[in-house]
Amino acid sequence: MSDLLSLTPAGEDAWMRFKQHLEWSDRFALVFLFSEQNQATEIFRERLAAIYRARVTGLELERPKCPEELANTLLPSLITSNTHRQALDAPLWVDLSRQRGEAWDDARANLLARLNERRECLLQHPRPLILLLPEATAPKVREMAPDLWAIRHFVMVIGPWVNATPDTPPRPPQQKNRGIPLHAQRAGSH
Amino acid sequence: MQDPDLKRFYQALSGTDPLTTPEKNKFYVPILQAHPENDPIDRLYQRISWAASESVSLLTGFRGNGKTTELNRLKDRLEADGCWVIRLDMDHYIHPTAPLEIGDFLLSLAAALALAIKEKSGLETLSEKFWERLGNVLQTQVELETLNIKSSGLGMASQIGLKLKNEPSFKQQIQQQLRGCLADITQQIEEFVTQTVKALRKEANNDHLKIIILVDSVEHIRGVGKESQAVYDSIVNTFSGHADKLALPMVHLVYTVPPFLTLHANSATQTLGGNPIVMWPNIHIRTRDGQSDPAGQQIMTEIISKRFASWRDAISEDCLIELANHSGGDLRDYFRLVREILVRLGISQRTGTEEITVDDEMIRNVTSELRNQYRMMLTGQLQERLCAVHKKKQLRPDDNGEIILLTAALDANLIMNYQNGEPWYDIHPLLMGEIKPSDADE
Repeated sequence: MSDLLSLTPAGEDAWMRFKQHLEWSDRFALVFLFSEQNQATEIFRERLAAIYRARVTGLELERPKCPEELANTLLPSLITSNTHRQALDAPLWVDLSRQRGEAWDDARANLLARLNERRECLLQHPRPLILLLPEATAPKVREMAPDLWAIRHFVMVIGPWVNATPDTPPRPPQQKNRGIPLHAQRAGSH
Repeated sequence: MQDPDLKRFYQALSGTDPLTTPEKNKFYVPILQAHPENDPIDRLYQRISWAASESVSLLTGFRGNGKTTELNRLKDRLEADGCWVIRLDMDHYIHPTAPLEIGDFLLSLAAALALAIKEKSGLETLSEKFWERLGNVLQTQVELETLNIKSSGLGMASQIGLKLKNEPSFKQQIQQQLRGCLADITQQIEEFVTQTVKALRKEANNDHLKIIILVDSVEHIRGVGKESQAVYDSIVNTFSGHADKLALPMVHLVYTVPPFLTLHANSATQTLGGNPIVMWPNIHIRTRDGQSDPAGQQIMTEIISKRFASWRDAISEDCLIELANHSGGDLRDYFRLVREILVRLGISQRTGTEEITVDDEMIRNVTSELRNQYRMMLTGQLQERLCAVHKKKQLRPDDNGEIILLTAALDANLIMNYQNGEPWYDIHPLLMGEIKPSDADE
């Protein structure tokens, strides 16, 4: 549903740069996105997914549902040599930006530290890895994962780049009256 | 410049892997050509060439500034003189963020050494027997079965090396259990090295063959989070308190060590034969008094020329030099800034509204993004310390608190080292506006 929302000129400019970096990256590239702006982030992800939908390999999305998944499922999948994954050329989008609380903070810090230790495994992936993190973690990432930070390809802090008035077509009255919050609509779209 | 060329230019700046046989590599640019007397690799080469039987040297430098490429240059020069040289990449054997002890460091070194010697010289039996003997020593102190070590010989070397790198709990157990048998392990390694040297000399029919072991990537160990101080202390202790165990008979060793060790270096260098730590500097893009250094700027331009000859079609020389100045001579930051400029040029071509060239505003925008990445690491205390470094152009910590701050700043690339003339330090140029001018100018 975020296709009903539009980006501000600053957001469009940032999106163009983000897309251009990814299109030109011909090898592993580590991209840090920091965001508290779920709507703008979702527009980025959906646009990127749309670009890769038309290709052989679509955008791969990892969005763990509980903190334990980061160490038990996500980490092994990122560092394990996987010929299928290595053959893919679409970016891998890892969304760790939405959840809050101590357990999530610890799980994110632990994942970054472990990835930092096993960075040579990450380097085997021939495609960009997009790590999406809460903006509040930005000042700590270098400390948590100094070697990953040192090889960062580019960094972007997602701003409040969604236009206040969505550029939406008129809707039937019954839809307007449902009162479904925007974030819930978006969550249902993927 | 058209889009496909911009893309090729961009991709030419995406890889910063170490260069092998650098002086024959098309991308290699010597960075100390204007001051060859300061070339740390020349100094190491001279030390090793002049040393009679054995020596230990420590090389440091900032992350990603080309140490491994330069070690490869040292290797080439020594091999050209007929020396036998191996480079051990300790990244494969050392856990990068767990505290280090001399026992597990020696074990990692033993694994790396045996496997590399088998690989390079074919002295498989010697390497195999060494690890069998070492396994027997370990057996007396370490519960190998409970640590799930079931192989022997070189298989054990691989297994232990891998576990030491990947399993902090294994590393901790090994550390505890090895404390009682350090002397035995050291003796085994020394015997292996002595036998290897003799075998290599016999094979080469040269009783004076020089053997050099370059122990690379040790500087990649660093403290992270709550454990960081323990890790830094452990590195200092390994290279200072146990420096005597880092020397091996009949061979010349060069260890790469983290830059912060220069803050604690006295006892280490005294024990290791008095050779001061050699530092591989950043490209000398500026002078101590804050002026631009044309020789350094020329090097930065040449680095781009070697990777993409027709760069002038995309960016003027003045603009490229300005980006080089903002990078402080750090190659990764330099490439990041140029790539970001190329991305903006590419977008302007696609949108096609008007012909856009690189101008001051574009440079301001890309540098401001990078500055923000450094700015978010700053704390008030760190700002004060950076101010002092900028003013004095030296580190000189007064107490342990300052050592901790400087260690973090060195590790984060907030402080840079140069060597046009005497070695000196300054803060990252993008942070100049972030320290209080009144303090800096005092």
